[in-house]
Amino acid sequence: MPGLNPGAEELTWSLGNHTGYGQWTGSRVSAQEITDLYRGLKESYLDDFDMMLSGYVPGAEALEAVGRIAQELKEKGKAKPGSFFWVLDPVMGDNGTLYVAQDVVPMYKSLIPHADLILPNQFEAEYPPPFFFHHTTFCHFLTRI
Amino acid sequence: MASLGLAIQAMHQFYGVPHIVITSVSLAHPDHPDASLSVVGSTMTSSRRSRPFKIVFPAIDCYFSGTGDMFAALTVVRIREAVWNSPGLSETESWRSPDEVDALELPLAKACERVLASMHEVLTKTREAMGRAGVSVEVNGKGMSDDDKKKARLLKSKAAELRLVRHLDSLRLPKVQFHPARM
Repeated sequence: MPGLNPGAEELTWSLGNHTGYGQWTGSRVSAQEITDLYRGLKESYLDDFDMMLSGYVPGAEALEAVGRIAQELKEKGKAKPGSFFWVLDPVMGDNGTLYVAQDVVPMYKSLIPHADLILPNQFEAEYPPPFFFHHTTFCHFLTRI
Repeated sequence: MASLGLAIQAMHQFYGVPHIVITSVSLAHPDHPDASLSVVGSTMTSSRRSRPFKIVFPAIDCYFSGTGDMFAALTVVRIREAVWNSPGLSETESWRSPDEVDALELPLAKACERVLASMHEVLTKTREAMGRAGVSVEVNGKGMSDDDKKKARLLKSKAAELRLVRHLDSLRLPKVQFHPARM
């Protein structure tokens, strides 16, 4: 793809197989480790990303760390419009099952206003308690349009 | 469909997210074939109004693992490609198309079209390979011991792994069959 220079891939888990198998070995990367990895990139001037994709992050603390990185890159890119774009896949579950810790849900809610593109599936878009909208606010909104 | 349109509008309005794609939505609609799924997306205008589009594609009756990750990864590449094909857009905040750009002409819609084309090819080929391998879908058969059931379930998971590396051409140059339409 012309113009696409992938920089680095940061994994928030290191497992032998994905969790769809119902059993796995390995470990999840801690919030501290995620922050350290990014600090290392920054100190070596390897943080000139123009896109970031974040996906499955199983715990709220690690997700907060990922969110801080995105917000920092966004802040840095403000001087030059379009120079940083965050694709946020709010991975929470599918087909009626939540597969992240419960406290991940409000964390996504606080990060979404900073994203450029979000990719929820139907379950995530409709996740109760209404993930995207507080019910009364939404009803109020609907009556206004 | 109407409520989904309102939901997208509300997400733009409340969260200020410039681009939204809701992946794999089951939508009953007289014009849609029975076994179909849709992707619904929108890029907001300067006044946070939605510009919704949908792409309807055939559902493959099979469980696959990792389709969400594949969709996200391909979207990164294709949105970038589509934005770079729109002169000047890559130098605007959040790559938000000017207000006069129609929903069906959005770079986001073009990106989704390509992403779905790749996904449909890879999923179809993965499904075919599962059939060829004679993978049994029987994971809970009568007379099976717990160990047999567990093994069958794990082998089924393995067979459902997306065949990405074998089908790089489907990622690079997919044949586009499903196009954006109005909601």
